[in-house]
Amino acid sequence: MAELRFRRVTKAFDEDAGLFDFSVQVEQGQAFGLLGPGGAGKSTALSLLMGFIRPDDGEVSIRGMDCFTQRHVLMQYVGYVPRDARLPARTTGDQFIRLLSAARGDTWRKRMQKLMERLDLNPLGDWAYMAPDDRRKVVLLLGFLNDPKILLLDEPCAGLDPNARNAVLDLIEEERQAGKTIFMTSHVFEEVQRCCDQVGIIREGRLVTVQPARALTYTRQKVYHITFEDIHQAAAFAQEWETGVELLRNRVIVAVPASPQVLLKTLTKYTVLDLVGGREELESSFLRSFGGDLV
Amino acid sequence: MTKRVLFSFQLKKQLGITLLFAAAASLLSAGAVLLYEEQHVLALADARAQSPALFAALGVGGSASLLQHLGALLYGFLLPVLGMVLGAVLAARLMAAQVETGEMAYWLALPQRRAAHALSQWGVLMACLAIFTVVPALVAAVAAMVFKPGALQVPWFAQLNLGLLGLYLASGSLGMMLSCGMDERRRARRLALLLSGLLLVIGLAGRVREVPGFVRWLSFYSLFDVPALTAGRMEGMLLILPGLAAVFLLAGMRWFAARDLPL
Repeated sequence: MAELRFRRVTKAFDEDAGLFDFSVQVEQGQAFGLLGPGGAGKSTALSLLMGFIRPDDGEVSIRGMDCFTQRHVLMQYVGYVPRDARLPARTTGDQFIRLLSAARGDTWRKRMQKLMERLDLNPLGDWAYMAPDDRRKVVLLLGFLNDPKILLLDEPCAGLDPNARNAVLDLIEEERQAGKTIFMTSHVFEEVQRCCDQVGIIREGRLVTVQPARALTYTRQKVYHITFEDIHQAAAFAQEWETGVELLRNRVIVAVPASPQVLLKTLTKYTVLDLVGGREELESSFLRSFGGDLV
Repeated sequence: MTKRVLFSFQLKKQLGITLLFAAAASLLSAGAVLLYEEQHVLALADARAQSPALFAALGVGGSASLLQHLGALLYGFLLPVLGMVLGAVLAARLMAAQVETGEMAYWLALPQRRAAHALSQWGVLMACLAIFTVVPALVAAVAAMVFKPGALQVPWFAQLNLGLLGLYLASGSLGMMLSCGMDERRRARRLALLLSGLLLVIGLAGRVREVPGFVRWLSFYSLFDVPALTAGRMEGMLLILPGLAAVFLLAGMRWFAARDLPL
């Protein structure tokens, strides 16, 4: 039985917003990343798993139990990191962590200490005056605190500085290696590629594709910046190459899907002053493939 | 365990505003006791004779005893209004505000039913309203003991406050029911004030002799009969108020448990 399952789920907020005929299943111990631009329906998927909303059609279940009606049972196994949720007013991060820990019937002191060190977090300040980074870390700590078997993470690294982001990604990777089931959303390829086994790409509420995270690497293109001796040669090359070319005076930017061998062979006919190659940004690749804005 | 921890946390959070309202009501109570002097009582009687309909609506009756005097000045209008406002404000803070800020996501990530969370929050509201009832009553009782010894009929005064608590239970639970169905604090508060205010006005209008008798039964505020309670009569109708509170609570819990939450 799948640990997490969406079966032909539709949850429509209006014509284009929500989730439509969405089917995904995540096995026990697997990490699944849902990747997509802002407003694609990633948080809706998590809200359905958390039982905050119920689907118009289809089924959402964890361990075979309905997420809306059996939420109170499922929450024993689940750790949740919301994307954007405030702490109660006039509460310090420390107070709130201890409160939720006590509400779960355990103090989880050792784990709390360990997580605070890992995230380099000082939760003593009032939430209202905490730096955004620290706020995010408090929310992350709350999600991981009770050593849950299932982690539901909504943009876990959103708003974190690079060091903190790395620490969080390391933590998620460790949880995956410890056999936890993970469902996370992101709009950053690198995050899901690093932490997940499977990646689903979503756009306008519809699942475009599900593929192994490793496959993301192969779908990326390589982009070369070529500077020619003069503008005529650049134009002639652009005309000859035809697709994936951008002409900028005597410079050409060209996207090459696989091996650069054909490109190099073509360039022997021209006088090339400079050739800079590199991997296309994953985000650009996403935009090229699926369109839309990633933020 | 979960409920106890959350209850005490939420109660502490709401204690400040509750004590603020209780302090205001206590000042009014102490002031009303001090105003129980012959010249003030006569002045009040004169004013009542000038516009009987208005004073009847506001529940201001005779001041033959200190209890009737307190009932006339405070329990007919001022304290019910203060309690209504406090109930609406607290109810909006306890449920709708948590949905609005996203704080609810943390509470619902705990292994407890939605209805259990709503029940726990209702418990906090009731505790706050009980504090708001008891503190001014104690202040009035102490002021009466100090300044008008032997003038206050304590058992009847306790009965009057029990009736007032019943009224707060009903109006607070109405606010809680509305808050359970709302995603924004301001909207929940506004709607609760509007509806409770309307019921209060209907209740006030029902006290006026010229208004048809059935009108008073359109509002639960009519069940809190101050002249009867200050005359020492225990009104069986008062038992309807906790019953109504239970109905509002159950409806709110059901509403909250069944609806989508924008978290």
